[in-house]
Amino acid sequence: MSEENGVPEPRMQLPERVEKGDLLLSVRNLRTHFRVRDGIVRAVDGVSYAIERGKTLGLVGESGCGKSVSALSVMRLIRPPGDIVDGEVVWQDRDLRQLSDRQMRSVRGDEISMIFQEPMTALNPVFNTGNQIGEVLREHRDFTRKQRYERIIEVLRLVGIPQPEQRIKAYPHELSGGMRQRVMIAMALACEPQLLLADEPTTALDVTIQAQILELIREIRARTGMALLLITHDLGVIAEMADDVAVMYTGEVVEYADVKSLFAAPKHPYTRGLMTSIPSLVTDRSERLSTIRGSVPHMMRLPLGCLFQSRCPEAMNICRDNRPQLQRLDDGRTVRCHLYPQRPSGHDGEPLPQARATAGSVAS
Amino acid sequence: MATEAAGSGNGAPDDVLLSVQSLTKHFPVRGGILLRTIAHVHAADEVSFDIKRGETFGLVGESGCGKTTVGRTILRIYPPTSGQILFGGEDVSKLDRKVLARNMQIIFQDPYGSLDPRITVGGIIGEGLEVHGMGSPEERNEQIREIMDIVGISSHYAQRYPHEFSGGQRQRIGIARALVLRPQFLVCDEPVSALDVSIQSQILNLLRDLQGEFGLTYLFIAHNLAVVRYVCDRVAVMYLGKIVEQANTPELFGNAIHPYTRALMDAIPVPDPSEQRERLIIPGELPSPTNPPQGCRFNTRCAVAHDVCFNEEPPLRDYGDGHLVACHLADDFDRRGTALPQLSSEMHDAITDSVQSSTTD
Ligand SMILES: Nc1ncnc2c1ncn2[C@@H]1O[C@H](COP(=O)(O)OP(=O)(O)OP(=O)(O)O)[C@@H](O)[C@H]1O
Ligand SMILES: Nc1ncnc2c1ncn2[C@@H]1O[C@H](COP(=O)(O)OP(=O)(O)OP(=O)(O)O)[C@@H](O)[C@H]1O
Ligand code: SF4
Ligand SMILES: [Mg+2]
Ligand SMILES: [Mg+2]
Repeated sequence: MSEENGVPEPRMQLPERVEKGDLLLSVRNLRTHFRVRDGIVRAVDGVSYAIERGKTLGLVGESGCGKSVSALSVMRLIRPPGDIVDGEVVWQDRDLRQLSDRQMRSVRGDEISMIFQEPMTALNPVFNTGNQIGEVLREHRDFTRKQRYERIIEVLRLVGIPQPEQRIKAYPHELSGGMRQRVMIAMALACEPQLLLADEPTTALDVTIQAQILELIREIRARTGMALLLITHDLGVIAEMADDVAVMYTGEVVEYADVKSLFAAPKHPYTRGLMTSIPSLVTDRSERLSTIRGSVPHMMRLPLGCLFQSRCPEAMNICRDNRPQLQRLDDGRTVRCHLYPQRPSGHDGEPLPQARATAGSVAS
Repeated sequence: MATEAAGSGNGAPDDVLLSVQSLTKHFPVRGGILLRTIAHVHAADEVSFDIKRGETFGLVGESGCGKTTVGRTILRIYPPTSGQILFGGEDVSKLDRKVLARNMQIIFQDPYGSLDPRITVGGIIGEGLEVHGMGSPEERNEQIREIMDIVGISSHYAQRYPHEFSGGQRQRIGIARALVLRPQFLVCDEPVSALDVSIQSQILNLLRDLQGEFGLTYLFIAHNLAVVRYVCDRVAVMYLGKIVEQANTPELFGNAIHPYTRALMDAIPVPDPSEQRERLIIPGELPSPTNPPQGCRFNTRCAVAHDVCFNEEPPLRDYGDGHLVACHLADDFDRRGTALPQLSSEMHDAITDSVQSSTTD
């Protein structure tokens, strides 16, 4: 972390194009920590990202890297022992962190809404479908009963729920996983938000249902011009849906670029590892899969230098004790790695023993 | 690869290690005050396939289609409703439990839930040896240490407990537990689904190495088609308890015939943002397995279904080289080729009205 190394975080944490865009949401240097019995979990630690009007940002990374916590922080839904300890969440010129609880409630579900990772925990089991959606409308709209009913039917139809007049009475446990996810989306869309935070909206679903839900989100996005923060660990979903991508690792953004550049030439050794280790439909079946060795470090036992060093095939002496900062490269992308803008010379640039063992390719 | 039609009957050739013949498994659904059986879940219906020695045979399909049921019934964790399993030509139901355990083992999907948290890792791995009274305590410890080193968990950790390990390490422990009995045949039930993506490839490589080292034969169950394509020699696609298509891997992925298989392949998001695809999205959801549709079980979601599809169940037929398909219209499809144009556009329209039609109850 910056304090520990005495290095200030650079201001230019966003890719150039994004920074200059028409920003709807801008998360700056967000830190959300959890104070647990044996220490502090820095779940989100100095994260910055921004979403342009009508655009989709994909947030990708492995389990526990802080994706959900960052989105919940935007919505101010972090509960103790968690706390947003630093940073700004700028929503159309207002810092959401400065709003009163009441003001925040009026933003949440209306201007910004969220699809939660666990549909079963997000839906109230004792409310039927109509009441779940009606609750959102009651909070934000001065509708008559009849208007409310009509809007509920309308959004249920929008998300492709058959016979909405009947389904409106169904309780969550009476719905299939795919239908439940549609109800979640209907709830989130009830007030036509300008931004939807979708946390793993399809992960628990079968592929054919996933394809339906992704198509549905695409369609709604095209029709309403809604912006989207799409959280997933599936690079395939990212490639199909996102305009920009932020790759997270242990609470930090390690790489941030537009989707085409990122897939064409991933820069961070972690991103590269992710992309080459997953079998795809074109992987050579006769070759061994490349892997990222080891596993994500324990959030309470993070190393001093680069958080990826124990797994990195490129790790150098400098990586051991110096935490790399996010830097913007000439092409406007940002990356958090000592290999950039170029590999350090001399002692700093010599490979660490574990990296020598796996001798990887040199960054370009 | 010359492949005999699955379920071709009795005389399994020598190179077949495991033969599943017309396996059917129905689970009773109980209800009412007396908890009488009111219906049956058709979890697996007349499933037949042969697995050759040293081969990896894949079983894919969506949640609830019966993959786990088939795997567990083979291992006699569940008794079959009907049908037969032959292992090395012998009827599994007549084999002694101990012989069975020595020959066939399973790796479970959930590396978190499948290891008893109160038992040390060494204890978990050695349990099978102990239950079946194999070797002296020293010999058992030696075998535990050896297998731990093989799967890449330092044997110094034998006295630790499962919660001290990461998901990938726990899956390695699960693999060690299965392999310590030195079985010939292993059911891998979604061995990487619960793992982080960066760990999945480590485990897939390990399974491949172990297969080479011990000459293992795998039944590999998964819902991720890309993983199945990488790992398996032959693949069967299941839908609602039935095999709808089966072929060797290059054939299946190059020339899928069944509309369900094609839709399944199309549904996989491709990690290449420059690729613009015409995708077939099949409408609706899986019908209830307690009351599968009459005729072809896929008819509620199939855009090309004809009258016959609602009346007659299509048989699994061999279209050459062991490429088996259960579809009335298989002959009409240009199987050496490419997408079906009429399927594509119809499907596309179908998605909009799609969800109006069928749903699970
Ligand atoms: N209530 C809590 N108490 C303590 N730690 C927490 C709490 N909630 C989250 N964390 C920690 O914060 C970190 C980030 O969690 P988060 O849920 O954001 O991960 P994620 O990237 O969404 O992962 P996944 O892909 O599994 O959903 C994790 O290490 C997690 O253990
Ligand atoms: N012990 C059981 N008792 C009753 N029904 C069962 C039992 N086990 C499975 N089923 C039912 O049988 C059907 C097939 O289930 P199975 O677990 O074999 O599917 P699967 O293909 O492995 O799915 P998944 O991908 O979700 O693991 C499902 O409808 C399931 O609910
Ligand atoms: S090269 Fe160094 S800084 Fe870059 S990812 Fe590897 S260990 Fe981290
Ligand atoms: Mg999450
Ligand atoms: Mg299963």
